[in-house]
Amino acid sequence: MKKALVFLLVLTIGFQAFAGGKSETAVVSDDPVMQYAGTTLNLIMEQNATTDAIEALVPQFEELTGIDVVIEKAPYDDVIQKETLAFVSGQGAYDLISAPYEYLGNMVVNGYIQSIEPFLEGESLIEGFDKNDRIEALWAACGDWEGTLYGTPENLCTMFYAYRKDLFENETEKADFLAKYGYELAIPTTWQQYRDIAEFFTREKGELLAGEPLAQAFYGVSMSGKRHQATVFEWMNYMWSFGGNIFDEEGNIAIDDAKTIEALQYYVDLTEFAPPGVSSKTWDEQTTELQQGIVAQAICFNDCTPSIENPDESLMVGKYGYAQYPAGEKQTSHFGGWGYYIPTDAKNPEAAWLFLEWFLSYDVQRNLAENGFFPSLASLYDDESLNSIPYWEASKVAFENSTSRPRIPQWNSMCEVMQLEISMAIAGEETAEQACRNMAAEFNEILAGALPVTYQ
Amino acid sequence: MMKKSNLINDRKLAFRFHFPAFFVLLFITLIPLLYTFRLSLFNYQLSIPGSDKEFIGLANYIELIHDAEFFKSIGITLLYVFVSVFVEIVIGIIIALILNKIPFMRRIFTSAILIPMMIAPLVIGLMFSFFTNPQFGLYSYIVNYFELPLPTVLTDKPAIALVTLMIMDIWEWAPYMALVFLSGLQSIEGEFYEAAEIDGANGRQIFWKVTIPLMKPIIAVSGLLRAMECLKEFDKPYIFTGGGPGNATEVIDLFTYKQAFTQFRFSYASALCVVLFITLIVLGVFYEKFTMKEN
Repeated sequence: MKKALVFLLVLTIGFQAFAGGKSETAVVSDDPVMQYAGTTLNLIMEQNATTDAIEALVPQFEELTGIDVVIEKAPYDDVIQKETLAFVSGQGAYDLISAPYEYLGNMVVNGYIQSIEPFLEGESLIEGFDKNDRIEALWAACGDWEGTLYGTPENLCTMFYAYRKDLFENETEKADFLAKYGYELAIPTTWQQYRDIAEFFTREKGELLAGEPLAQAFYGVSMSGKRHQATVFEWMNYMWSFGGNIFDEEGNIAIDDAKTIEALQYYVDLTEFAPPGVSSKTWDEQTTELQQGIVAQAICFNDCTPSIENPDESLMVGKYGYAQYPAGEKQTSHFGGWGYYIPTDAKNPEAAWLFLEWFLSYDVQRNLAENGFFPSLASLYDDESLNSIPYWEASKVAFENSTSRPRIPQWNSMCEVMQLEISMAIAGEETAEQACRNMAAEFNEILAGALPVTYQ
Repeated sequence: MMKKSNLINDRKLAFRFHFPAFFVLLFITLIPLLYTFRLSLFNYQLSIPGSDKEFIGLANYIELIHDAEFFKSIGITLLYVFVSVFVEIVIGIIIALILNKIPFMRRIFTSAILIPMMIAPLVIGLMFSFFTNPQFGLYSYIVNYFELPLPTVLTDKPAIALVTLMIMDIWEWAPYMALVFLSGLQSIEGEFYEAAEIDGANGRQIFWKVTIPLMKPIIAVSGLLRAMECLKEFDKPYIFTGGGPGNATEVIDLFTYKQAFTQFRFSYASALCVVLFITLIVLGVFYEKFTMKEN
């Protein structure tokens, strides 16, 4: 018995010694920026190039504040799961989380995240942080829920049109295009032109492209078609542009509207000109296709462009032009940003806010912008030195035109339904009309009692 | 009296020996199971605040009966299990017969064919994804280079995607079947074959009338065990197709996972788990009865 007690005592001391690892006790300092020194700040973020760029700058923050930052990185699909499970457990696993903005409603309604307004009202501690230097629309999309700010923008992105500038400017291609379609090869302004370009550039191995025989087949358009958010997000551009929507102006379900069905039919038909295997592709494969130069055009997220213009990763540096895709009934661009949010159960919310002030400070945002990141500071979009970035100008316009997807708590379930139905339509298992009707029926069930949706 | 006392002591001793195992099982199996069943009687959805306290009785089970996607998923799973396990048995027997007939290099071969089984299913999914990538994969390159009459895209068409997943499973588990059957073949007494030969049986007759009947128990048991394991398939379709195209490869575990972790319908997913658990229990009972009968 005595031995057992001694063993337990040793075990307890040992466990505490190892579990403690790093002291959580803050070191008292006169410098306000150092007041949380010694604190460990736990973050969770998506595993991508943006996170890597932020992570590379984190030592500056650690040196400035004395706060230790631990970043947990997870793939897109896993981030939300990990965060939701952490919220439900209520153990304060994270002090700061990064999440796609459409989860805002869910997180607020469930009380998972806290308002950042008390922090914004306080005195700023980080030099270079100006709470008024912001693009209101982006802050609102990422953080505003019914008039209260719950978060700040983190990784901003929106969708735009990428095209092979070198091919569009090639005299032979231009002449052939004019001869075949009767108008000049240029950035498409209608969806018929977009389809024509896709058809025109789809060629077999051995055919000529810009006067050179092709070593492998070349395709007119790169698309996502996997049962995945990437497909839903890409298709929503077409849906809005064709005049369709998820909800009508009164907030009732409109996904089975004739214009939405037409948009889905167009999308399905367009896959004919995409590289084989559309049903297994997301934005990752789309980026690879653009990097490899096997497609003529795509509607893609602008945050994939830095890797397309990176000579270490891409064969096509400098060959793409970036613009807006056809306006259709409404010039739009699918906004796809992520926000930073402080969980309600965060153990160190003040230190988390300090991190956000640092992250949103001018120098940090500028540094990230130079490395392919899209900032949320209004002043940076007026910085002319950034205009040399090839996708910068088109990104600015796309952000101005951007439209957000619904942020209601039920969106996750609705998106899951859309993934399935669009994927079924692409696979030829359903017609576009059946898919849209099924979406409407499922939405009615998911939103039972919540219709009409007057706030999203 | 002495005997009864000894019996009681034996029982006490047996209880003491069994207690640690029982205690551990209680925590890792029984309690989570009961919790899952309890959860399935509620309407717990992470996107709806307070739903964890909303008792709805058997409503999740009733919804499940009316869920067309669930039944499609069950159908896909059963087809996947049946075809995969059947082909694994056939290939397993063929490999076992070859290895049994050719003792040369048997040890090296038996070690080498175990490799697929030792790779994590998730890694197999990734390997096949890279291997069959329509643009950059070796498979598509070979098909295009030799102009083989095979599809270059394996995830576009529902039937092809499902067959590819079956091939992945067969590649992974046929070697295991081969090893089990090889040990079975080696345990058959030579006298049976000698007697058959004396009676004038040819090779085919010996195979169908001697080898297969004697191997029947081992084929049935290993097939049943593989089927139970195969019913729980998740990793390979999750990585390779994500359940698509559409829901053509959405096996029951993937369907359950999506309900729980993408739609956050924990209670509905729990009801699915309970149904799957009962199915496996029924299979387990069959397995036990079969082995007891054979004994």
